[in-house]
Amino acid sequence: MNIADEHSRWDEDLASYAVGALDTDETVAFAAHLATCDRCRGELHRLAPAVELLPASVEQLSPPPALRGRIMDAIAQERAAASGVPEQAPAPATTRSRRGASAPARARHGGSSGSQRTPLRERLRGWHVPVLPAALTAAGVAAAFAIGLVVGGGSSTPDRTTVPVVATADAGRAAVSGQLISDGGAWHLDVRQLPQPARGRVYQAWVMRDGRDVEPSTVFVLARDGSSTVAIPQSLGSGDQVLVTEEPAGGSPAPTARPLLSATV
Amino acid sequence: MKQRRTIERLADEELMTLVQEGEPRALEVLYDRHGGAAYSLAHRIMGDRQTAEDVTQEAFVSIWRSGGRYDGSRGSVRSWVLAILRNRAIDALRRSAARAPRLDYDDDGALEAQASEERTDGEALRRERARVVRGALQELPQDQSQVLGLAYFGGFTHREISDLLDVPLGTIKGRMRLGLEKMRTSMDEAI
Repeated sequence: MNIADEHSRWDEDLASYAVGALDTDETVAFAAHLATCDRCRGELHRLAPAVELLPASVEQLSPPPALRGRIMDAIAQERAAASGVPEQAPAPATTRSRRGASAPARARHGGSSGSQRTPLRERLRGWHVPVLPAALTAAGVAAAFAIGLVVGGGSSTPDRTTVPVVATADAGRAAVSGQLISDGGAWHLDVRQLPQPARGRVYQAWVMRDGRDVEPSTVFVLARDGSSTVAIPQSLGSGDQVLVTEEPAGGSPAPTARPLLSATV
Repeated sequence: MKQRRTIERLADEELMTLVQEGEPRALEVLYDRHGGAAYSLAHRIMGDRQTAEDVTQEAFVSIWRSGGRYDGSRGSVRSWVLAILRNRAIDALRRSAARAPRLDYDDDGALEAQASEERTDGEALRRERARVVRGALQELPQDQSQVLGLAYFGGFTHREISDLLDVPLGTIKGRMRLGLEKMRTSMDEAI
């Protein structure tokens, strides 16, 4: 395949990417391509105003006045939880804390907290998906279940949450099992029977949030039996995804391969 | 802590800096500016007011937590807010058992169903712009507006749309691209 044909393949998917209509693994691959392709970034930038017309086209309604108060109550609750001060505002029925890790746990694992958000952006500069990939979280759940295999169960107790790991079609027929676990607020990924990566290659975990950001996480290797327990230092919330790809030794600044495993919080 | 009146005069990007610093009034002002558009999009995707409220709340709490991830080089705050809202809404839509494509949503009907006292002068401009934009969308060939609607408002992937409409994937990709190109051209002509 020559360079023109190769680029044509990405160009065909550009509009789907812009409106959030790619599968999870396609989105990861496209985002990685964007990081290296000025032409596609330029095209995406050119089409972005058209994509922005879509939400502007819906009939504009007035939100109920009480919604504003409920949101600010939820924020007050978040702030109280972060500062350790008992909350004053009652929690709305539909709100629950989704900060994955307690502040001490986040500090222990190097994750971000409310007052440490900017350094995260600095740390991830150049890794962001540029424009409106969208629906990654949502599409990821459905796509993973459509093309993959659930290889672990999920459950939740007050101090422990387990999320099933899904092997994508790219994981082949390996009898992988695994779970993403939050224990006392700190997240780790337990995998079993994952095939050893090729020589000179490693596995790398990634955190995907809100369909926009692909954050590098832990680079890891396997024990001889194909198992590994991998700390995920980031704080995870509902809808966030942890993905695993095979990468060159030392890890990569952006994914270079399609995900083999996926877990959606 | 800045006074609310001072905060209200700040640009969106400056508000995001304050959100990163943990200033709740900045988020409150952001909600006042973009909450209506966010709720409207949520209502369009979810189809009912209660879940639209829940999704809007989820999105703004998420913005509070993730304000540090906003990057001005990638677009406006409004676009970012609406992208987060859409992701939350599509996520909720996919979690719900009853998910069916809505090919014939009537936005004007939603307006008529709204109590007249809820319509404020401050929203008139937004509504007028929406009408103009909707007119541009209606000028698209139906097969192009349909695939864009299924993808953006329905949360369907291009493969799912291909299966749903029983049309080759390449055709779906082409319709999506043509639709966006025509909308982009319409914008240029309008300007």
